[in-house]
Amino acid sequence: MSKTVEFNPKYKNIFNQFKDNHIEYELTNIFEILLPFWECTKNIVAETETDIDRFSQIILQTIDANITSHKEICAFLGIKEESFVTVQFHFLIKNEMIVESIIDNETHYKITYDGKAFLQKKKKLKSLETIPFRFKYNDMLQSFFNPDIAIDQERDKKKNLKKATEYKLLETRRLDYKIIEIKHNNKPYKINTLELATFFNQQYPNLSFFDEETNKIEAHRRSISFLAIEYTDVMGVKRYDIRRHKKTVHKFDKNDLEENLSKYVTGYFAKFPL
Amino acid sequence: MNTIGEFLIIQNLKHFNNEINLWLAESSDGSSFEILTIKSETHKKQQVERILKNEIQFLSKKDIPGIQKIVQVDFDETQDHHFVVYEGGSNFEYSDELSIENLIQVLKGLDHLKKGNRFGYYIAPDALSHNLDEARLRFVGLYDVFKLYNLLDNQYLAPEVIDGNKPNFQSDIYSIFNLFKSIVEDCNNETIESIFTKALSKQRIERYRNYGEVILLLEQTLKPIRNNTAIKIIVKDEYRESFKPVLEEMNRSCFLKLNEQLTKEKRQITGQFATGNYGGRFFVNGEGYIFVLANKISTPHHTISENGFLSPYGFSFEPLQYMNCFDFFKINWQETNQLARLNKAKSSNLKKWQTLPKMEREFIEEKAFKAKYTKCNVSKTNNTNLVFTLTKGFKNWEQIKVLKRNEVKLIIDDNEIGKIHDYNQGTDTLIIKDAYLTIEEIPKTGELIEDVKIETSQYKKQVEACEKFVNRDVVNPDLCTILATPENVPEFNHIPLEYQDFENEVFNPYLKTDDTQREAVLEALHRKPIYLIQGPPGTGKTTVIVELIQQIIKRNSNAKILVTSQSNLAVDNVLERLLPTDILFMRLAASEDRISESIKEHSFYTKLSNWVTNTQKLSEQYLDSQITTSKVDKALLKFYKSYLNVKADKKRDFNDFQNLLKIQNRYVKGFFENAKNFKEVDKIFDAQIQTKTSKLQSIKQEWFAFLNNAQTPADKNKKQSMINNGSEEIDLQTALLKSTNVIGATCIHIASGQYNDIDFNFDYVIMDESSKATPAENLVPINMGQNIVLIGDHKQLPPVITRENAVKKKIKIELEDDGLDMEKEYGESLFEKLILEFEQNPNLQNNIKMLDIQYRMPRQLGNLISKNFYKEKLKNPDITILPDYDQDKNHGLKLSKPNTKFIDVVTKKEIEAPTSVIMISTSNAESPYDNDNKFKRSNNCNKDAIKQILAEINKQYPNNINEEEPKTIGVIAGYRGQVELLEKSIDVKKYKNFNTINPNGRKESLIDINTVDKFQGAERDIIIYDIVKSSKGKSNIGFLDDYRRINVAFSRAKKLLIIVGDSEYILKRATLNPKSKFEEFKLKTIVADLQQQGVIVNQLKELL
Repeated sequence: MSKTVEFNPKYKNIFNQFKDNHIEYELTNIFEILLPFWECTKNIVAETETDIDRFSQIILQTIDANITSHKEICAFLGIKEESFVTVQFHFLIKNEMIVESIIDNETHYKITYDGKAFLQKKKKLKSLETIPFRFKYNDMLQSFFNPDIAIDQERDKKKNLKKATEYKLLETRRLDYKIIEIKHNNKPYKINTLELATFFNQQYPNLSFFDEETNKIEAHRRSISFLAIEYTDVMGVKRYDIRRHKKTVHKFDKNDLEENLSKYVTGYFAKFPL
Repeated sequence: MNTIGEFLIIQNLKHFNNEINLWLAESSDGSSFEILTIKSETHKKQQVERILKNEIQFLSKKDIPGIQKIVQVDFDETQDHHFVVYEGGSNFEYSDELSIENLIQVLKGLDHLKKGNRFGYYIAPDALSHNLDEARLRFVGLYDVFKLYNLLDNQYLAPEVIDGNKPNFQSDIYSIFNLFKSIVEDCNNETIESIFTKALSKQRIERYRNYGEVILLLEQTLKPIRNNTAIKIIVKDEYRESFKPVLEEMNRSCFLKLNEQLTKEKRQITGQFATGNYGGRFFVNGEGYIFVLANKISTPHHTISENGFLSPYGFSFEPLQYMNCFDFFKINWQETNQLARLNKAKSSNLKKWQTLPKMEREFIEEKAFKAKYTKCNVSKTNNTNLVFTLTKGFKNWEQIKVLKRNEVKLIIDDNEIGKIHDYNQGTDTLIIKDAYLTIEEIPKTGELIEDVKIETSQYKKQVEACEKFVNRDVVNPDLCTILATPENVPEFNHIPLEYQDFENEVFNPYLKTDDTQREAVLEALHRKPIYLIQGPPGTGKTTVIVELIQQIIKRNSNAKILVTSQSNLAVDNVLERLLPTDILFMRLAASEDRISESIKEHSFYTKLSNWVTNTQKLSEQYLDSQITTSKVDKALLKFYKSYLNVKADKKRDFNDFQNLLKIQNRYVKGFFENAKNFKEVDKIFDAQIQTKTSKLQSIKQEWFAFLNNAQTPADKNKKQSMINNGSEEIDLQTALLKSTNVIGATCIHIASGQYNDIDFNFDYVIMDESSKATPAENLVPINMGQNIVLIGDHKQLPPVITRENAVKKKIKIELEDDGLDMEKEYGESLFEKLILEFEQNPNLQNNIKMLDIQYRMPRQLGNLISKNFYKEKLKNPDITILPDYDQDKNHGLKLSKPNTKFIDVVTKKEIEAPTSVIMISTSNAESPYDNDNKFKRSNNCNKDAIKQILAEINKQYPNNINEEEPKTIGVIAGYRGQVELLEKSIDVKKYKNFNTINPNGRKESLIDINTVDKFQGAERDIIIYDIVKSSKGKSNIGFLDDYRRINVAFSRAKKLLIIVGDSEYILKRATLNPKSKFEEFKLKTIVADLQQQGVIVNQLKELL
């Protein structure tokens, strides 16, 4: 066991478990590391498909029951002819569910073919709505990140990888303990629209991405605490294995290796040594 | 046509056909507008009305880049025309010289509209206007109107629209690219050509799927700034790669804004930049390059492009030739500082205004419970609870007990942590139940603080209002300059008004005989954007406000008006007077308890439920009236309604139906005896009741269910009832709020978070009692208005700065830091400051008016008030116009001196009027002196005198409670200590002739005792004013030197004022404090006048 590891007796078991993991490398250090993630909110305009609403249905049914003049429909509903709720008639006309005509100075309505289809729920209404889309972003891998799914899962070809690990995201600004951390370098202020759309559509199967509302994105720094296992070869070259430990996930099972993160951290510390 | 609405037609810009025209027009203040008029034949009128209401109204007053702003939509009854008013722009016109930039601007506007579910426009050359910098589309929302009048131009319509389909946004893409086709003809750029080809695809589906995509492509075709020289840019090596897209955009278009302050150590110029997608900060290095904080790149802030300048140079890491940008930035920085100096006066005012709420907030926060902890653990018994170990020696356990009982939340570093579950004094621990933060997120040591967000929210809103005001992030930014620096306002809005014609236009006939009231209304309508009305006591402020509201709505039936004040009572006073009119209003308040009884049915919460009840009632009545069946059939119908309920309830089944059947009469039972299931029952009903009726019953049931869900907040299982106008879906409560003309709310409540979804943009904000509000309180509603009318009276009580001495101290320190003096700065309200400045600035003198006839007080008292407090400008009513005035103001006491002579302030001649002011002097009493306790000043002698007066008055009005309007009495004392003494010693219910029964059946006295502050805005028939202060030797009069208090106290009287005090003391021994800011001893002058008029006696009896 190297000197450094000796200073951290709590990692003794880890040392024993992983000391021989890499041929030609000696396990030289084990430490806790905070890796950067982002908690983001971005307003997304998405297309929805819905049945017609209850009020539209009531008006259509009333017309269908042969009450066709604006005056009589309003009387039946108990509202004034210019009541604030009469905007719904405009909605029906605009969506071509009814057509209006003036007979003897009175507005009359007739249900269209489409109107009947909507009434019978054979047709759905398309509209846009703005959704505040909350998502997590992996700063190092610059990719979307679902904390319920293992970080390596998407790139791992084996499908038997566990799903519900649920990573613990901590608010970086409130972490006061001094442990090694990699700074947040890649704030996701501009995300590739196609990637965003794909991820959004995955998260909201009932909605379809239309566009970003604006360029604006709210991004807050978050960190996940991992275990970094340092190996050194005879030339002094270091490589790091990033593994889950109790502070990383809600349900801890074993110290799974996070391959992609390991590669990134190794590259990072090669550029900016500890 | 010469006029339309309130606008003067200048010339015809476009004659579409005999019904539709576009005009150049002018408003009364000389601003120019473009107005589209639509004269509808009867059969089209309703359709036009519907389109304008639903398509245009919602866009009114909204600033959408690339779209010509809609100012007003209305109907002119005289001309029988609908009209849409657009913001003018004389330098805008259509020409062939269109650019990609112009196209992008318009597409961005359409993109904005599409994201709000709006699309399908009239797009043709006459719908586009542009100048060198800007292009904008007009007539948005009017496609159906142009279609109705066969005015669509096929040349620009998408093929599918020509084929008869409704246009969608891809049809708009086709039309707009068609309109800009001239660009592609001479651009010789393959990328642009391909963009146009796709946009102009014959098949809708082949065109762009959203605007964002095509805008991005077009932006990429814009040529980057090409300069031989560029500014050298440096970023940290590790960010160089990720910074490249930012650099690329910086070279396309980059706004720069320099900060006023240099960096502290290196004295470097710093600034911010903004491109289309990115924003960041930079430092200018003395060696001639800029250093960018590449790790802190964010989205662009709009203020940079609004207030900054466009960089004339490109940027590069290693330019072939790079300029030494130091001089360039130095010149720009100097300009920035010059501007900053100009704004200094403005900033200093705002700093002052902001200090008060900021300090009030700090004070509450400082007072809040705090406890330092040294350790935090997860509870062993429940892992969602956290155990905090407090510092040793913590003593404030009593407060913890209170916080636990009151379920107060605690916070750490501004983050809520939870409520106290338990505490243990022995182990110095405190347990937080179901903590909102995880143990990792909680600092190891820190401080637990009581959450006082609710208590501080009103101050927070005021500070926010000040900040918005500084940033001009308000509905009408022009107001920021006028209010902050009225002394610098140049000439504006000087227009001649038709005062004489207006006499015939007023709604309230009383205004015909009151010039200043009438003028105030007319001027408030035209002297925009700010108008001040000084309303001395009883001069009809509320009358003026009500008339103003009626006149605004007459001119713009869709106008949105906020009636506001610092107090709920003042808001209700106006709304109560609106009740008999047809004006739609809604009252917003934090709780129903704060609203007057008569207004409650119009509150945000009650109005909708009343509407629902009424709607259901009318609907029920309608359906009943349609059924003309016999009595027995009606029984069947009644059973049908119950059946529908059983059927709709999923928990009930056919057995429930059978049970229901058992209790029906034999006639009804006969039909269903053999029915085995619901299906068979339905068949029988259909056969027995007319199908239409049964159908309608079932629709009605669905409608009622919809209505009943109107106020239920949506949750997972239940959807709230919503309505939809084709673009947005909103709940009924918000829809109802949006449909009302007038909203009444206090100036703080209107900023409440519960209305966050509603974009308040009022045409007029009318604020009553403005002189009683602090500047920060004033700013909250001012920020929401296009035009402001402030009503107040700076000769009455000023705003209460703060009641806490600790806050005063804090303000003093903060202001002294900036060389400001608290007494001087807060001695006057914003209203007073403005009115005094407006009086001095000839450009603003037309924007103020003092209402100068008082109708509350009898003439002797009115004269006294005018002479002493209003420089003799306040007049009594002309008794040739109101011959019964003296009779109406008669107090009914048979005085031995029925009339008093005095010099009339208007005619300067001696006149005689009924005696209405008397003084009961205690000078001859054994000990007329007060207790000389400056913390709780009281005077026993005066108390006894008041008791005697009340007893005598009670005797003099034996039939008071049986009168149509029984007399009321207000006893006002100058000092809180005396009020306490009077309240303790006088049992008001003892004066039986002043006891009445209130609507709740409780006995209530018509006599009130209170301080003057509590009486502002109120009035009583008889006012007894207790001076309290008296001493054996000479002494300072104390805070009675503030004549505004005396003014308010005396002017509350409608019929009689009785002053009680030691007249000898006031006349001979009382002096003004030499340090007092008031130069005149008004009380002394008044007592001297009363002595001269011979109305000072030792006892009331002497005068009877």
